[in-house]
Formats: sequence, C-alpha cells, structure tokens
Amino acid sequence: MKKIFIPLLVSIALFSCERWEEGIARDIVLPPHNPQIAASLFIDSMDSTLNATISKTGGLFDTTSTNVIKNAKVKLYRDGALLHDLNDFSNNQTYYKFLAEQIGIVNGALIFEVHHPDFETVSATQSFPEKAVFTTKVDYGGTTFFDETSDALTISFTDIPEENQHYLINIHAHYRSGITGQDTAEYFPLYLETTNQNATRINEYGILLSEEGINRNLAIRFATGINSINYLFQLEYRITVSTLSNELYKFYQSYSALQNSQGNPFAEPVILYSNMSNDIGCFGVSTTLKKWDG
Amino acid sequence: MKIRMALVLLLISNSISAQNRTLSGYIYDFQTGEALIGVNIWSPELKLGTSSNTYGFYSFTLPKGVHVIRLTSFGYENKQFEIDLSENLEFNFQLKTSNNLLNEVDVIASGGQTIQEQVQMSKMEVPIKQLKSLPAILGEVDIMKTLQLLPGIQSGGEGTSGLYVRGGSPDQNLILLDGVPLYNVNHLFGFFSVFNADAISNISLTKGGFPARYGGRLSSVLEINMKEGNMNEFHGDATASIISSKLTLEGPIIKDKASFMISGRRTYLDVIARPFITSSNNNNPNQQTSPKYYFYDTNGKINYKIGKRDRVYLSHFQGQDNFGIKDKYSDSSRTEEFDFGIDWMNSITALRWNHQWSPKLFSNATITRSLYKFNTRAVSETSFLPNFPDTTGQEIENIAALYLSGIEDYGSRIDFDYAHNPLHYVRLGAGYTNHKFTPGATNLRFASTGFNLDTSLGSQSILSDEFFAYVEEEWNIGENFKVNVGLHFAGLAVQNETYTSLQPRIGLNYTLPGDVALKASYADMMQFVNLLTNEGIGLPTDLWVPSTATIKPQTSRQYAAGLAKNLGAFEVSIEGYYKDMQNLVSYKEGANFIFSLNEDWENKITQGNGQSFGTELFVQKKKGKTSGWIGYTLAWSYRQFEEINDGQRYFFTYDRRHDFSAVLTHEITDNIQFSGAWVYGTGRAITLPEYEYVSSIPNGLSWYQQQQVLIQRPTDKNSFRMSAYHRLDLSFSFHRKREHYNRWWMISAYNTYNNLNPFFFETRTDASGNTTLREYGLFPIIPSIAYRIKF
Repeated sequence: MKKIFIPLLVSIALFSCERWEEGIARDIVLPPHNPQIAASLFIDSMDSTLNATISKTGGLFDTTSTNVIKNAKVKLYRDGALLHDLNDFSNNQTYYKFLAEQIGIVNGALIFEVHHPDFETVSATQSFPEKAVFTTKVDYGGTTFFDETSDALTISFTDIPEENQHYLINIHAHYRSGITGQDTAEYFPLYLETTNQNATRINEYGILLSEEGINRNLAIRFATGINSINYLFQLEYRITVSTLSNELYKFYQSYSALQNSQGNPFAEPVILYSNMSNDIGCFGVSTTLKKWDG
Repeated sequence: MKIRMALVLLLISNSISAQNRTLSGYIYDFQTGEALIGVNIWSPELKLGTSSNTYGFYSFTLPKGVHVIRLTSFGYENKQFEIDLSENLEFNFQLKTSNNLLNEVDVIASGGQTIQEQVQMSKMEVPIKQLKSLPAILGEVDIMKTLQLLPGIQSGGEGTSGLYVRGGSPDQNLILLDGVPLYNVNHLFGFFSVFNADAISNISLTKGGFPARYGGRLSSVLEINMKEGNMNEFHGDATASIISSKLTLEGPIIKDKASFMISGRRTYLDVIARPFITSSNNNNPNQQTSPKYYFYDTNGKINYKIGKRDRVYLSHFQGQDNFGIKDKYSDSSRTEEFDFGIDWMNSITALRWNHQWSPKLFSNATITRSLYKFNTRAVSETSFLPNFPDTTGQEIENIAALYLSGIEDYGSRIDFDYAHNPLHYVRLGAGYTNHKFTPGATNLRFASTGFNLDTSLGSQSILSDEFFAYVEEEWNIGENFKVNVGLHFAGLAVQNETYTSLQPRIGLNYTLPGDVALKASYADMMQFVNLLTNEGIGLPTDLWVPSTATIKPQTSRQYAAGLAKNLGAFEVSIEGYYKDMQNLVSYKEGANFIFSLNEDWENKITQGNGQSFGTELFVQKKKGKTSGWIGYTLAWSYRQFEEINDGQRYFFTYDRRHDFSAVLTHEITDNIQFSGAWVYGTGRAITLPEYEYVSSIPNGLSWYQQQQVLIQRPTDKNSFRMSAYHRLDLSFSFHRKREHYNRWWMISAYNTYNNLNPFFFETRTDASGNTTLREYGLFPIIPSIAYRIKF
C-alpha cells in the first residue's frame, strides 16, 4: 500500500506546487464578437423631426468597438407603403427627417426598416396608441409632502376596453409673479409623490402608470410638493401625458432598471428590451397630450 | 376521492386479527444510554419488521407465541433473542457499539432493512461515525460538505455550504435541528456549516418521495439531531486545529434518569492575525486598519426521564459570525474613522415531551423558537478643524447606515406514531408556527454640528401564521408490495389572506424477480418562505421574505421512480425524477437590496416557474476495510419568469449537467486511516456583459436633452458557463489509545491539487482598451492539522 500512497502523495504535492505559481486568477478567452446592427427610433405624436440611431455592436472582450454607422438606408413604412425616408445624417450622428409639422397620430401599422450592405436587414412594427382620455383636479393644500402641506393633483383616466394603456406622466408648475400676477414664463418640473401601486418613477420627474392586467379606469393622486396657499396667485399645473405603445412601455421599464443598476455590483443584470428583429435596439411610439389645470 | 382512499386504507388496517401481542419499549446505546434511532427489529421467521423512531421507541405486534427477534443497527453489534409473547410486553434494549469501523460496516449488511426493502425512496442517511472518517478540512468535518457529495445534492460552488437539491434553491430545504427550522447554516461565508459534528447524533436527508409528515419546503428535508448526553458516565471530546477549537462535554445529571450535553466551538483567526495587523499598522501610524473575523457556536441539550412513559428534552443552539473592518486615518487637521461590518446569527430552542400512551401509541409534543438575524453596518465619523476663520473648535460629522433583517418563529407541533401491527404503521400530527419577518429595515443617521437626522426606511415587520396537519400510513400489502400513502394539509394566514393546500403523497415499493426493488413516488409540496439572493455574489446578503397577500406561496410536484438492489457488499440504486415548480421568487432585472433603500421589497421581486429533471446513480460499499461511494447525477434545471430574460426560459444558475463524486475510506492499519473525496461538477451558469452599442432614448428618460447613450448588453440570462468545479480532499488520521483517553492526529488537505475553482469573475480593461474576463478562485490548497482527544 505504501508503494501506492507515497508516490501518489508526492505527485499531488508537486502538481499542487506548480499550480500555486499560477495564482488564484485565470483569464478566460472568449470567442470574438460578431458585430450586428443596432437600430433605435422613438416617435412621439408631437415630434416634427424623426431621429434614428443606427450603430454596430462592439464586443466587450475583443477589439471590435461600437460606433454609429453610415451608409444605412433607414425607412419608415405605413401599411406597406413608404412613409418617410430618414437618409439624412446629422451632426448628432442620427439619421433624421424634418417634417413640416408635428407627425400626429399616424393610423395603420408602421414598419421601421434598416438596410446596410454589411449587415442583415432589421425591422420592427408599431402602431400609435390612442390619445389618453383623462380629467384632472387640483386640491390646493389638500395633502402633505414630506410632512409639509402640499397641493394634491388627481388625474383620472378613462379605460379603453381590451387595451392595456401605459402612460408616462410629467407635471410642470407654471409660476406667476406673486405681486403683479404676470406670467413669469417659468416652468419647473415637479418631483411627484404617489402611493399608487401601478406607478413607477422614471428618472426624477416622470411617472409610469400602467393598467396592464387590470382593464379599468385608473386614477392617480400626486402630492406636488407645492403649497399654493403660500402664493398670492395659485399655481398652474401643466400635465403632460404620453400614451405609450406596449413595446415602448417595456423599453422604459427596462431602461429605468438599467439606469438604477449601473455601477452597483449587487444588482441583477438587465437586458434592455428590444422589439427589433435581431433583438438589438428598439422602435417605439407614443401619443402625447398636454393639459393645463389650476 | 383522495380523502376517501385514505379512509379506506385506515379501515382495512383495523381488520387484523385480535390474537396479536405487542412488544414495545425503547432501544438505547449500551455505553451512553442514549436513545437509538432507526434500529431494525426483525422477525426472521415471519419476515416482518419495524424500526425505532426518532426517540428510540419501538412497537412490534406479532401473533401470540414464541418468536425469535433480531435487532440490527449501523455501528452496533447484532442482538438476537427468543421471546414469549403470550402477553403484551414492554422491554427496553441496549445495543453495544462495535469496536471499529470494519465491524460496524459488517453489521449493517448482515440484517435489517436493506435499500430494496425501504418504501421511502430518495432518502440519504450518513452515520456520524462514517462522516467523521471523511476528510476533515481545517480540522473540521463538515456535515453540509459531506451531504454535497451525495447524488442529487450539489454545492453552490466554492465558498457556499448551501444545498441545491434536485434543481431547487437553498430556501427549498427544510433544515431541522432537533425539530426546529434553521434559516442560515453558514459560517465563514459558507466554508463551514453551523453543525458541529461532535454534538450531532444523527443525520438524514430526504430529497423526494416525501412522506406526509414532511412539509413546508419544496426540495428536501434535512433532519439533524443533537446528542442527548451520556446517561452513564462523564465524557469529553476536544479538538484543536489551525483556526478553531471545540470542546464537547456530556454526562449524567442523575444516573439513568437525566443527562446533559454541551458543546462549543470558536475560531481564532482574529487572534492569530492580530500581531500581523499591529505590525502592519506600526509602519504607517497615520493609517490604522483592523480587519476582524470570527465565529462561534454552542449546542446544549438536557433530557430527563420522568417515568417509564414520559421523557422531556430541552435543546438549544446558538451560532454567530462577526466580520468587520475598521479603518482610521488621522493627521494634524482631521481624523476619519470608518467601520464596516456584517454579522449574522442563529438561535434555536426546543422543548419536547415524549409520552407513551399504550404499547402501540407514542406521541411527541414540541414547542420551539427559532431566530435568525442578519445585520450590515457602515459607520463613518470625521472630525476636522473648519476652514472658516470665524469658527472655533472641531466639527464632527457622523454618518451611519444600518441594515437589519431577520426572522423570529415560535412554533408548536404534536406527532403521534401508531404501530397497529407490522403491516400497518400510522403517523399523524399537526402544528402551528407564528413567523415574524423583518425583510429589511434600514436605519440612516446623519449628525453634524447643529444638524441631526435619524430615519428608518424599508419594510415593516410582517407577521404570519402557518399551520399544518397530516396523516400517513405505511402499509405492507403483500410480501412484495409496500406503500406509504398520506395527506398533508398546510396553510398560511398573512395580511388578511389565507392560503391552503391539500397535498397528496404516495410512495410505492414492488419487489421484482431477482430481489430488485422497483420504487416510485409522487409528492405535492408548498412553502411559505422565500430566500432572495443576488446570483452574482456569494456574500451572505441573502434575505428571507415571507409569502404575502401579493407574493404567492411556492409549490411543486415531484415524480420519481427508480430501482434498488443489494449486490453483495454494494448497494446500488438508480433514480429518475421530474420536478415542476410554481411561484418561485427572484429579483427583477436590475433589482437588489443594497443601495436601494426606499423601495418596498415586494416591488423588487417577481414570480415565475421552474422545472428540473435528471437521473441519479449511487453505488455504495459499506463492507470491508475499504468503504465509500460513487455518485453521479445527470440533471437539467430551468427557470422562467415573465419579467426576466424577456420571458424566455433560462438555466438556473446552479444548473449542473454533470455532478460526480467519489468517496473512499481505507483502514491502512488498526490505527491509521486514510480517506479521500473527489468531486466534479459542470460550471455554474452566469450572465456576462457581452457587447455594447449606441442607442437613441425616448423623451423623459433623461432630464437633460440627451439623445444617444451607450448601452451595455449582457449575454442571455445564465447562458455562459464558468469553468468546471473539481477538487480532491485527502486526510490521514493517526490514532493512539492512552490509559485515560484516546488521541488522534488528523492531517488533511482541502483542494489537494490546488485547482482554481471559480468563485467570481470580473472584467478588466487594459491600457490599450482590450477587455478580458478573469475568474478568481477562493481557496487554493489548504493543508491542516488537528489534534483530538476523547476521554
């Protein structure tokens, strides 16, 4: 038995010492990345310019790098017919098209298609959602915000049956001079507080509200953080509601998660939502309505 | 329909002849007087048998007359005797331990229930004596690491002692220490488990085919019992190793009536490292850094026989880990102090009362308390002289962030064993647990001259009430056919919501020609607690959260079938399983608990499904100078969540296609023992950053007018495999018997051929912009030596 054990142990010890020299880390060689096209276009009904970004992907573990690419053919079709050609390349590194006026709500199926000689053609389809139907009500000094008296603003949305509505809500406060009552032309975005279970904060000032899986009228109440009672002239609130397509809503959600997780080693990885045919990039549309109250 | 079937089974059991007599009592260890679990009581003539329960109680009903009875148990000498059962008899037996492992393993093969006779499948038992002969790492034999060597049970990789049973996660294992649930079993970031082998008498793990008495978790039930304490003599057992020492004392309080066992263990890494740290700090008086880590645990148990029919047990366990770094910088103008720490603790207490109501009816009533706390702290204090010329004195700023989470349970249960006759054994019981969860409360404090902020964020405690009841019957239908059938009812009341579940369980054993046992089982399970864990890290940041009105309980259905046979000295079994899991819990993409303090935890998680399936092969040799086992598992485990990976199914991070282990123990001489264990597992499935691209972003996602951003895209969820895990542990034990004590020198090596087993990875970018992926190992070869005495 000794004849087996001793040579075995000596061999293992030598092997182990040799490995000790290699340290506790090891570099992994990954296969080179195969660049693909990444296309993104977001259109709102109030846009008068269409901007698309077309780039090629760059691997993180090899020498390929990402950059915006030229020579792409960027087209927007409606129900199979060409609607817009976005073939001008701007200084902002986007493919763009100036429109004479706001694009408005375009009926029918919109197809965003990108051709490039070095890559496979990619595309995605979208339809403009219907404009939000909502009413607003301001309750001056009707709530609290971090224990201070605050105006409360309630927005009540009318349900569109059989459709999941997704809203992006922004509210600005419009000040008048406290002495003369004249318009100061100043609009301040408001940090909004809500306890609504279906609401998600986007950046500092946006609120995403979804009726996914509910299909009923929605109402959301905000504390605006402003106490109008302190002013001689009550504030006006400008309410901007963008109705998002399902795909754009998912993009907002995943982008928000991506932003929140950046730089945090404890966060779960985020795959940014894509509805493009090659699963990279996004085509999203929204319909925006602005309303004044107060 | 299922209820009716159970009632019919119970009625049939009552039709057995009244000309039977019952032999009942307890079985004890001759030397220590401790109750023996799972001793087989066998009638060779009638080919009928039963076994002692968790408290050593047995009840064996046979036809009136004279019978030969044989008692067998692993590690004990056989006992055979003739008994006249003209009346019911109560008789307590004592079994002598065999002298050495060779004899111990000879005994097990000589009689009693073999693997092909057991109805219950997927149950693994590791005798403590066998466990202690396996490689000791840093002088410590670790129960959890040994269990990870069994088929169907995987480790999470380096630095974890959690169990991943048949594609399940660690929270799906019900770990009971003296019947009380333990929530965290890790010491030293997973390198050791909290179980001190010197204080343990028995271990069994059930990974499928759950009888109805088990519930509350989807994947496994691990039952660990503490020693009761020697009823006859005072004994001690002490071990000193490189990083820790432990001491166990046991003995009678009142001979043959009451005994105690107390055991303690502590590491002294902090003490050993102190001179080196001091020396390092002396080189830079302005900067003082003091890392600290230690753990300790204590086990204690008292038992008292009140009379012939009653006995009470009081058990207690407490374990704690403390990790921290203190850093202090000072110069003439300012002093900065930073204190970071993580500590976690478990504490359990159980009071049990055994009562024998009749020769056939035995009960155990238990009341329990279980406490788990996990705390993180980061405290910074800066004192400085202000720059303003018109101010005087020192300014002090104090910032503290304390993160607290935990669970506190109070529970009670009662279990009855009714041994109607050798053909019918009925178990029934009920229980209740009150849970108090603190899923994560953050306390932020900021104090500066003239300003104070002290605020608490995060979730409030959640109270829930869990209850269950079960009935189960083991029924020998014929010589070749046995079944275990039962129903488990479970419920939870939380936040004005009540969840209930009726869970059918069945296990079948049919003996085919050639003495091959064909086994099959089905079990429905539900669990009301969830462990949230960040898959990217191995730190103990795991948080226990309950099912709530919005977080539905996890459920599973498990089907298993297999063959088992004794082949001479070898036991061979092969099992296939399929497990379907619903309402599993995971963090949403981008979510975490750390650094995201003001959100409700329920908003950060999502629920989905999982499937796992595989085949397990187990060959075990228990006889001879050389013993051990080989286990191989071929398995798949998936997860699917609507809000993760774009709703596509992905591999569970601990999906392990191949898992192989070989364990060998060999007695070189009477006093020298060698043991080795080799384990291989497919690499862990992880998500890597893969590529980046430039994208537009829509309005509202940036409050300044930014049109384009750089997006980093990871691989599909868990689509990349880390390197395979493999490791060889070796150990030699040298024994000497002295006049008043026995002593052992134990020399061992963990990861003997120093394989780099990946623990985590990072991406590195060099000066020329090239990025590489680097895997880091945690433990190289770790040689150790330990000295043990037993008196």
